[in-house]
Amino acid sequence: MLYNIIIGPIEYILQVVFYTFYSITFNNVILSLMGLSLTVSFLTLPLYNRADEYQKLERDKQRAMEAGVKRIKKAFKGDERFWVLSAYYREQDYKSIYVFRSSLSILLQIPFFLAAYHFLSHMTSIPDSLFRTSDQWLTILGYHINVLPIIMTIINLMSGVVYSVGMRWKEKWQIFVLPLVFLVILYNSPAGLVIYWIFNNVFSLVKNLVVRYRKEQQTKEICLILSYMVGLHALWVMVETGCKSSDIIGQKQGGIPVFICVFLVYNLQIYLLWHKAKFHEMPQKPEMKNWTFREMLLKEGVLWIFVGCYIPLSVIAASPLEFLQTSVHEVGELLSCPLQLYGGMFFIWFNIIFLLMPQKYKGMFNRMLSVCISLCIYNFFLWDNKNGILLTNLRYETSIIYGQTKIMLSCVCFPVAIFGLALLLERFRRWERTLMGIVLTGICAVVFFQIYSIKNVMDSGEQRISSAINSNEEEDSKVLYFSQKGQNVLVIMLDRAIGAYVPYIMDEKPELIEAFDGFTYYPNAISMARCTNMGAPELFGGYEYTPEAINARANETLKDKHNEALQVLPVLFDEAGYQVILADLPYANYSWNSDMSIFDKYKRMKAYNLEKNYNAMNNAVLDDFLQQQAFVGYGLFKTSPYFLQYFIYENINQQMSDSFNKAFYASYQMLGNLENMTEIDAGDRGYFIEFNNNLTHEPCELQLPDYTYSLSERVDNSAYYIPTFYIVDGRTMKFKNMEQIMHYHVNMAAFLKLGDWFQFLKDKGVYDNTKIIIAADHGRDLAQFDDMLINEELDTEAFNCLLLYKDFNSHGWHISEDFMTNADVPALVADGVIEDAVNPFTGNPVSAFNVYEKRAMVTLSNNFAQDEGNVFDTSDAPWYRVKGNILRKENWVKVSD
Amino acid sequence: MEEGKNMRMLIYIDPGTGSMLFAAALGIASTVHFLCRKVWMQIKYRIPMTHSGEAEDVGTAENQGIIIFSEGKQYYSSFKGICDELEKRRIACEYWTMDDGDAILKEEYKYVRCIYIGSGNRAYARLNLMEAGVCLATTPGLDVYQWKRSSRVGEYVHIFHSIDEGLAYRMLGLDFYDTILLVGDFQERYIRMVERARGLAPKKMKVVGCPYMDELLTKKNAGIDMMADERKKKTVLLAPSWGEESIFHTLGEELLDALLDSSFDVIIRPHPQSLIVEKAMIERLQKKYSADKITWDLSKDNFVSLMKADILISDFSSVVFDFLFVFEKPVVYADAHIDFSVFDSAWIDEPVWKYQVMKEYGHFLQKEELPQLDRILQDIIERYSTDEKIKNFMRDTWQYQGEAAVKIVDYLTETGE
Repeated sequence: MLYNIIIGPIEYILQVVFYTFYSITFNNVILSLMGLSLTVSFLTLPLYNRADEYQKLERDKQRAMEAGVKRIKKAFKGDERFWVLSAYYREQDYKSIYVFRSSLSILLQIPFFLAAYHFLSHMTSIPDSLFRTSDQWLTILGYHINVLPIIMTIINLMSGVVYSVGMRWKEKWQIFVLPLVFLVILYNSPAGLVIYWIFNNVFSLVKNLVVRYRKEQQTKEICLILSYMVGLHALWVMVETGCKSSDIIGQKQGGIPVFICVFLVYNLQIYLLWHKAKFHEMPQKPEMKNWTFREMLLKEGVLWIFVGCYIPLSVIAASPLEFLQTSVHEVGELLSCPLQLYGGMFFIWFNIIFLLMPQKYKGMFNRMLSVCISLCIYNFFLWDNKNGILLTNLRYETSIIYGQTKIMLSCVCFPVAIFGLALLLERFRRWERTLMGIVLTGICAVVFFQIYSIKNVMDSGEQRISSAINSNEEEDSKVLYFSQKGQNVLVIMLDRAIGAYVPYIMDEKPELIEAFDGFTYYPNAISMARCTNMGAPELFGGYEYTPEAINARANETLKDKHNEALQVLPVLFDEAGYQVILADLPYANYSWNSDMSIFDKYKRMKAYNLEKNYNAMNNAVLDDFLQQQAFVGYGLFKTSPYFLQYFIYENINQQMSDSFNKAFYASYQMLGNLENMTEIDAGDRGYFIEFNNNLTHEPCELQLPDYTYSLSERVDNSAYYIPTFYIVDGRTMKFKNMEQIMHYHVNMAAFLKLGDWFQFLKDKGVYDNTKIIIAADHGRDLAQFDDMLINEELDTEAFNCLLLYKDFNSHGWHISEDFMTNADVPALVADGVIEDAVNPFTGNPVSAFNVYEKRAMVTLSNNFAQDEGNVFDTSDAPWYRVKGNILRKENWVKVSD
Repeated sequence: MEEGKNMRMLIYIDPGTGSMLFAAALGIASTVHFLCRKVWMQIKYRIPMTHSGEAEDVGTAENQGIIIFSEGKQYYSSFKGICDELEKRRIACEYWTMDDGDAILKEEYKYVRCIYIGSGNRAYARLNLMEAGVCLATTPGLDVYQWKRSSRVGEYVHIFHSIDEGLAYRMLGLDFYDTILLVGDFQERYIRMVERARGLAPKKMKVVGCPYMDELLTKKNAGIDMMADERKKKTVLLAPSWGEESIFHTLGEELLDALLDSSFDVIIRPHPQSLIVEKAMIERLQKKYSADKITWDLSKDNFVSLMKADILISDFSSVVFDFLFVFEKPVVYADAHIDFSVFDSAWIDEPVWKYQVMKEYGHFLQKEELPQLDRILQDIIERYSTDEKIKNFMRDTWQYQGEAAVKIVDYLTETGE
């Protein structure tokens, strides 16, 4: 906690700086390190100068007292010497504590060093060998020599020579001995770290040279010009990155017009702020000094509550139960990291900077804080971008898109807003404190209300979860039984598994064709919805449970119809004498955590929550730091100017957040553990096994080449070439962003895990007598296939669910171009196993192909969280009717209202 | 491993910062040592950490006015006159003493409340919590040693209990007083020199005379007749200071032998401090020099001995000025090799005033003169007369003779107002 409060804010700022440089230098690590070093050095320079001033004062004072102290020390001994010396210091207005004052500024630099060191030595997000090994650039007689530490020492010694001019040897020796000591100590450090120190030393050398040869003015000018150029370049890259976000949906990039716009607007802004508003003269105005420290604290409080509490809560409040799926059970736990980090930033560091800064700037700092608060609120509320669904790791489900026009508009509006807000605050200066008080009270009131309502939802959610978990108390580690002599039917739902990936998966890992021996792949398959609550019922219950059919039964609750769909096949097979084994059926009893107690009434059936167990295990192992830190980044992202938001999201928050999420790991573990859960029954009673796994629902970058994930090692694919597209049989799949790459990774991992399990089943002799259906409830609109982009609102990839079918004793790898839907799954399952299968709840035949004439009514609605009512509210998006080849645009017909 | 890394980081810095951190570390180490020592001293001497606090009964400034603080009965002469004057003017005030044998406690004052505040740390604890408009004292070293300034005292005023240039106290003796009441104008010059040497703000100063000398003079005038009959033989008073550099050590037994051989009656009055730190030596000398003509005066009050004596042999004691100014008798002084480094006078470049004066108005006794001591002393006594020069000097040095108590009370009441 102390680290989070004191060092955490600095480390966070350093991370932001580093990743910004990393992006604007087009991923050049050395330039990024240089940028970081220069920034840290510039940030600590005022502290350094302050320390120098204090130390000079201290030195002068000591010198003035030297004779007196000497006289006293010579004349007195023991306690009397102490008494007289203390009194002498007192009358000289010198407190021994002043040593701390003169050391304070220099000591304050230590957190900067610590933060930089901690950050650089723990950097795994950038897979560069510079951060892992020493340089070993030279090899002489078989010995590797690290050159960088030697360069570092030479620069340090040079810097020492300049710094120590005019000093006595007594003072000089430590300056020259220390670098040599550090050479020995740091000799084997990772090269990246040494490069960072080298830049620090270069800065120190330049600074000493500047001081020595009194070139401050010229240096300041050069620095200003350089900063201006770097700043402009950074701005350009940031804005352009945002503009590029729209490239994914085919819009053109901003290019030169955006740059010109940015260039003009910012030069105008600098001109206005500097020359017209004469902000640099404002500290001299008497009313600028009319502030109090209490006012500062009030403003810091507003900022703290807003960014550290209000914004995270606004996210949690949107879907509190999703956060319950992590190990967090209290709102406070979710807020602790942003509150600590922002608390440290505002209450500790802002005040330290404030206290150390020269008096004349304090008024301006106070003003800037007001403008900063106003801008945060302004950006958060007025420049909100509709980014889609936010996951618990605070990444959006899909790539976010920022419109060029709005970006350019925000480029213009932002400086105007700064200027306007500053003027407004100046004009109503005397109301400022009252206004801040009102804002603080208002935010606090909303925050309390949010906490109260979140707590209520979480408490009720917890009860549901605990009842869901309790339902499989008697769980055995061997839960999946296969009959050696009888027939087994296995239905696997892979949530969000994308059918179109299969050719690429099989192309990359041809061994999977053998592993999936006997399967038929249906590339021309769709689900009739794009989310689980609407897409899963049809998978388990057939055509009577498509969104259209469910909505037709308007007198029954969605929950009942969903539960009924889940029970269709289990009841059929139970009645047919099969041992039914069920696990993690999606959204059972409309619980996020699959309340399998809906099967309690069927005494012979066995129902489990397998993923949840792995989730609980993960919770014990993992801390929530990443998720909590994500709230810090989210605060920065949402309060930034609109034109920077995309850059921050993609280039900074992305780097700082781990792609790991717990739900992924639980599913990954469960799928990897199927073999251990499997037991072979030598008897002839058949088994019906049906389970869901979410691995394909939780995109995550995995370790190449085997698509694995380990908690102990961070994913580092730097050694592997990741193409931006993948062509199989003339069809191109794009890998333009991490979202696309990660989806592919988890799909591949699922195939690999299942492949291993199937091999195990083969080895145990229970493969041929097992019918297997692998299907997904929906796909994902990732815009990876040009032929799937039907129009601006419809990416068929969102509906192209995975559908694989293996009959008993089937062999080979088959592809069927038949138009299929995941509602065909029950019919495929029952085919040849249960004759004339009839839905036990409706009495209608399960096999219902003909009823629908191979036509599917697809809803584009994204109302994934609806858990109440009788019909799906699909008013957010249109319906389409489709049949035949799903890649043909003409086969998709929009259904008018 | 991780800790090791952090440690490496902590010490790895550029030269400027390294040097600063190095200096900071040393400074902090010495500061921590200093602060620890301070806390220890405060525990050792049981001094409150802060100077303000709840005053005890004695310190309630019902007397927001005047409190006189005396270290003990030896300062009777300094404060008696002042208390009498305050009583006379019906000014309510308090007299705090650390000595339960202090004769002033027995005075039946109506307006001056005399309080024994205990001794040692107990007394200091009370002093440090004192609440008063003005506090008058002769004690040097305020806020240097155990006696700390109380934040509830408006003004600390010092008066001298003898005549010297004001620099005869141990270092910083007067620095934390607000006001110094002077015996004569000449003192201001010296005190200001020290103030300048230490870069201190000038203190308030006012010449008021010396109540101690006034009291001594009064006593002397009253005692002349009383002593007249007792004077048969000429008497020499040997009143040295104490310590390694005093004449007991520098001239030692040779001087005592010479005095024994002389025609004078001898009164030996060791310094009170000698009776504590040089007790064995004094006892040995007492045994050895116990002839009838030698009297060992170990009493607290030196008045009788001063009255009896016709000539004084001393080294660096202020008693020489008592003798010279009040009793108007000659003085012989010996080179006592006093170490001035502990005194305020060590801060100025000029020779010590007292030596200059004694050189002018006394006889410097050297070791070679001891065989002729009797004759020398006889000569000095015969030749000595209080001429105009010494009278002028006396007038300049000791101002407001007989008026000190009035002047001091005037000042105290003005300040109170």
